Amino acid sequence: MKSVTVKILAIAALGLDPAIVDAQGNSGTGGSSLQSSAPNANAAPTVRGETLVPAAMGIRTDQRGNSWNIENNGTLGRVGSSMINSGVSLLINNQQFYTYQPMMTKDGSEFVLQGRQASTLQGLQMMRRIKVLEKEGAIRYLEIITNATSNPANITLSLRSSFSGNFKSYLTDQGNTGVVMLGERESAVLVTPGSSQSNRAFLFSLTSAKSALKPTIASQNRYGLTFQYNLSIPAGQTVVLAHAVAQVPVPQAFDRKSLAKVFKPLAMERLMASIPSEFRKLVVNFQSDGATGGASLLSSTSVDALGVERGRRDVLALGGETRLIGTASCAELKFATQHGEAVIPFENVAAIVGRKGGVRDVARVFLKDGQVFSGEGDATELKFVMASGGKMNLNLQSLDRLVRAVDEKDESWGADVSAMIETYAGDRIAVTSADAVQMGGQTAWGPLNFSLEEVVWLAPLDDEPVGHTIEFKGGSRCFAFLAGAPLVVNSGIFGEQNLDVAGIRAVVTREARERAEKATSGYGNGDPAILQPYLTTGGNQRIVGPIADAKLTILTNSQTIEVAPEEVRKLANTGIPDGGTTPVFQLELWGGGVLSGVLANDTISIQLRGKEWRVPVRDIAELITPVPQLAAEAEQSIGKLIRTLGDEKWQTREAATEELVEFGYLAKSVLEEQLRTNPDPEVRRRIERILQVME
Amino acid sequence: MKFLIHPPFFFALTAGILLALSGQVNSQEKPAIEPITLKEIPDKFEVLQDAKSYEWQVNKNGAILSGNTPYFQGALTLFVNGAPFESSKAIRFDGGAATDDGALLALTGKMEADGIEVMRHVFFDLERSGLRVVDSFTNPSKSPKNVRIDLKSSFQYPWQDLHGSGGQLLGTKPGAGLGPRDFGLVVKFSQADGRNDTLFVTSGERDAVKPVISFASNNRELTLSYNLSIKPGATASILTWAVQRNLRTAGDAETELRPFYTRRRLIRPMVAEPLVKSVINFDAQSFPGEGAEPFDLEALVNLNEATARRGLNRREEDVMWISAENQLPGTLNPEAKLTVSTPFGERKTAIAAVAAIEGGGGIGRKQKVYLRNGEVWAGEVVAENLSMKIDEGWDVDEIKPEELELLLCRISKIDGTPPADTDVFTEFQGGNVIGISSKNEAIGKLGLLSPWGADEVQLADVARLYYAQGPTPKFRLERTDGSRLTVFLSGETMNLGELGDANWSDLVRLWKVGAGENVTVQDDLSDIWLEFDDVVDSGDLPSPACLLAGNNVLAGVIKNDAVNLVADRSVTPVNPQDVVEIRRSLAAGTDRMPVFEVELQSGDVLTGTLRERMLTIESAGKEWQVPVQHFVGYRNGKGGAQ
Repeated sequence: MKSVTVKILAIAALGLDPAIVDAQGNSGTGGSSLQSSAPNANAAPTVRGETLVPAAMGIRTDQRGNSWNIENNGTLGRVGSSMINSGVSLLINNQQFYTYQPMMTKDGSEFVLQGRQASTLQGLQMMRRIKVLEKEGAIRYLEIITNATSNPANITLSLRSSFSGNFKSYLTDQGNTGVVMLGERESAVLVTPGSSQSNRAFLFSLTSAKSALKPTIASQNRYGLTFQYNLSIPAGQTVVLAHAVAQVPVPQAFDRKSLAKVFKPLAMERLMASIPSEFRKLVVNFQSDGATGGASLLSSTSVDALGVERGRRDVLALGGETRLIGTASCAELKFATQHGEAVIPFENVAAIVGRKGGVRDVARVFLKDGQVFSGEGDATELKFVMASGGKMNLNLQSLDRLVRAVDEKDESWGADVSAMIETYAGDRIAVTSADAVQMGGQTAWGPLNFSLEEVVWLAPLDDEPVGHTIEFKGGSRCFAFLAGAPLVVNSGIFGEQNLDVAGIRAVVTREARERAEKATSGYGNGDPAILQPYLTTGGNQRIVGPIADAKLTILTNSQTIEVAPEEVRKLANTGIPDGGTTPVFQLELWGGGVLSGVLANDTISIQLRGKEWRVPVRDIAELITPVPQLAAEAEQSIGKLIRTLGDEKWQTREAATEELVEFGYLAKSVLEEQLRTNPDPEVRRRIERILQVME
Repeated sequence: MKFLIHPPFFFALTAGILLALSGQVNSQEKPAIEPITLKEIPDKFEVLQDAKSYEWQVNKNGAILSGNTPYFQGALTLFVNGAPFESSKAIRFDGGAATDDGALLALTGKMEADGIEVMRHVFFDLERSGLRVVDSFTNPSKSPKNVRIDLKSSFQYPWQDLHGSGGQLLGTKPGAGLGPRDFGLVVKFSQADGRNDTLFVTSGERDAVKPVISFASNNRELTLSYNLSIKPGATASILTWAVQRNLRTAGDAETELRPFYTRRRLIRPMVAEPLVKSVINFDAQSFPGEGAEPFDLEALVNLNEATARRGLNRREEDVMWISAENQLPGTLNPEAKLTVSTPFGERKTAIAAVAAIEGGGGIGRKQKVYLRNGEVWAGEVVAENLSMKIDEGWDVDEIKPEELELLLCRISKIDGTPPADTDVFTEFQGGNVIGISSKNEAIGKLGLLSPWGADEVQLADVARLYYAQGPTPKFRLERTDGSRLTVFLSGETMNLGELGDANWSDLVRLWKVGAGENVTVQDDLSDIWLEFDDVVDSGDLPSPACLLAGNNVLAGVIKNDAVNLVADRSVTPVNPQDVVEIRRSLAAGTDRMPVFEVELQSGDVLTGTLRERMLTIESAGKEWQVPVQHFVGYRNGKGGAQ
């Protein structure tokens, strides 16, 4: 039986029983190859190379001794004296999630539940992926929702749990009890058992601390808890909501340290590692420092962050409440920064923040072109005329905030501006010739020297670890500490300035702004495709470049196998086994085949920006080669098979078709080229079919 | 089954055994706590919850209960010659309150009919989540006594199966026996029942008495029986561990019991040396002995890690370790020599200087030679005359390092003595560990970058450097002044003298000779240090010191002439020298605009934001510019007004 790739969704659409077909389209009952129609363009992503089999649902016990009764639709049933009767039952717009035949990965580690189409949710495709996290003693859920319609969809996603009696209380990871919504730094909820319940508490990890998407919490007389998320899904897009539930010992104390001990192991940051990479980037309730970057990095130093609602008139803000509407004028605004003095045309000013009687150490002027400067100012005849006619003379010493009317020039970078640098002092300085601005830094694997021209964005990380994440145009993203000589930038109005790298908080380039504009939704990032090999590592890092090692050596259980890096389609770190010191990797080859073992190499060398970085294998999460490199022999074989697709005998054409399918992705680029250029309609039709199967 | 217990191991019930029991705890674990004799014995002692959330309780007569949920109604209930044990005296060795480590309790009584003095000593091991019972039986009479001991456990619901500790099913008929390699048994419930399984460690694997197991046909009552013959004046003891777990399969039992009994040895059984000799169900070798550890165990950092992973201890004999089940003790040929091809060149040693060899395992794995001086040489090993006489009477003529799994050489008095002129160990990618001298200026300084700029540190000023576990690859540097920083290494090459150059970027770990087990303890960077008390080992913190974001501690002072505290519309300049402590408020402020509490030496406390955007911190002669939003706290080291 040849492997034929057909998405589960497509199988459902064909009316076939998914129970007998796996993710590659392998029929469990034997028989002929599937002649599928094109897969649904809007279908949720699938995990490459994943084989699904009918699931054996029922009770499972994890390595921490928690028993879990996972029901057909992913709801947790009660086991023994567990405090939960029915856990994390999924409802979309109050419609219960129902599934087809539940499936699971071949190794049984993850359930894949394809949702049935609810009549009131036309065009929404739902899937739950459920994984028992053995070591953590938890169940991780992915709720995967695809909006296959041509309109945006706003939905409520509810996770409902009912308990065997009154639970004692619920509290967040910040120790707040009885809240109706998770707060700014909150990410999870612990439900402690009542006196008649078991001695294990249930912990629900619901979002990341820094995520903007927080669920509401509704308690039903301490018998039930519902976590509800409001999601907006753009047309044709898929979003993933990740969450987890764990059974944990009831904390003996509820101080911050004791709670951290309970909550930290289940933090979303740690759960992300268990999510297949195909879904990880679609998770909407995970955000960490520096993980996203992009044009929004500068929002905290924008005029909008001054806490004043802007309109068609100027606003004079005094403290938290007083807002005077009117018109401001100034005969001359002289401003002196640590780098020099300049007269700033008042029509170029978007806002002025004064020293407020000395409460602030400096005044700050916001320009309409997006720049912000701090220093001492001298505003001649700075006046404010209220709409009612009253007049006020202002000075920068006592002024709180003066925000000018909205202008179409606001945040309109000058045509020659290629980047904006934000400092910890709160300044924003335009860079006109990014290629001339040289920066340096150090990563875990080597030094970085680059010009701003090569950067998309540079984002601060202010928790653990402190530092910067830098996204480069080639797709590399590195965590680094900045160092080096002060940056010399020409800010235009203040001329050339020297910026100490220790004071640099963030950088946004024009490329980042353009990517943000290209992104069609709040969830996408507009990143271009990466065609070179790349390594991903912890801390959301990605190093793009040719692999310099001649061979990768895999030690399997029984023998040593050498593989050229270009043969590798994906090398994935599956973790360090108990008692081991080095991670076990799973290796997929472009030519087919999977290997599993430890790498004999201590490091993998990758060329980045002219330097060779030796990345320790323990740091590597994945090595991906997005595009195969064909050996001449293979290319010849594929060419011959393509010619045979036009053979006069049907059996020969069929055999060639099947052989080309077996070549898999290795043949893809050649097939695509032939699809465009081959004159034989039969050959093109067959190529089209093969490519559809590959999708 | 009868066993004769000989004098002179007589311990009178009161002073002897009790002292032995309390003394062993004191010597191994904690300063002595005066035993407390309870005036009145409660029907049930308090419920204790262990680290895995299982509950334990003991009733007046020593029967074990599973706390508030009756998984078992009475486990290891003691019967002597068919009569239930009744306690007449209770002594607590834990000061009356359990700690995180556990609690100790002794119940004593005298069996009227037989005159046997009985003591049940219970240790609640809350850390490892288990309960150890030692039952001691003393024959105070002048004639030998035959005693039948039954330890009965009754369960509220029927179990599904009984298994040996190895996971195999025991016979289904009452009277089933343990397998030859079993050291305990598992009472396994159906997963659907959701009840805790109960595991018992009952007996050593070798030369020790095993209990006769019997059970009622309703699968709810289990009895472990021992027949003892106790000589006049002698004491016999039975040691049993009871453990609650929820097992996926009975095969997981061995893993769960490993913290209590591994490779024929009890782990931290909490039994004093004098009492060890009276235990009849574990032989003396099952107890950890003095000579079983290397002379300076802590100094052989890498070897200790390798053996700990496998749950091994080195012995006073050479051992060829093939697997947990297959180990060949014997004597290595003392003439053997090894040559290792390392990245630092070919290195040679006699076997006498070797503590262990980790071989290629037949699959091309990297080979390592662990030297007794703490160094590790990793690379292809060529052995000369490496052979071994196996104790069982046969020889291994040629040990091939590439095929070898692990060879543990017998402990030696030279273990842990570092190479001459070495005060620092450096560990590199690939596993090589090399001793160096921090006084050797040719090696160079440690160049590094922190979140707040570059620095160079003399090796002598480095207490420890290690690759930190966690999602983002990074290093942690601990300076001798107490600073603890996340860093990246920036230097190019280090000169190792005759060994040539090494790349600083290949360094994995660096520690001072004598750092002991501290080498392996890492900062838990998953916890965010929001105040000084959050810092791991906060008692060792430097003063003055700044606590900075990202779990960084910088020994040093704030150098700003003043920090300006803004509250409402007022600004209060504060001289950092007048400060006792600055703390970031956990209740107010934001990440971008933190609020601080400033405690002054005058005793006043001010609260507000800092007007400064950057602070200057002087540490080790260098000034660091730190954004206020990275500033978490400050301790000046000067006490406040009294």
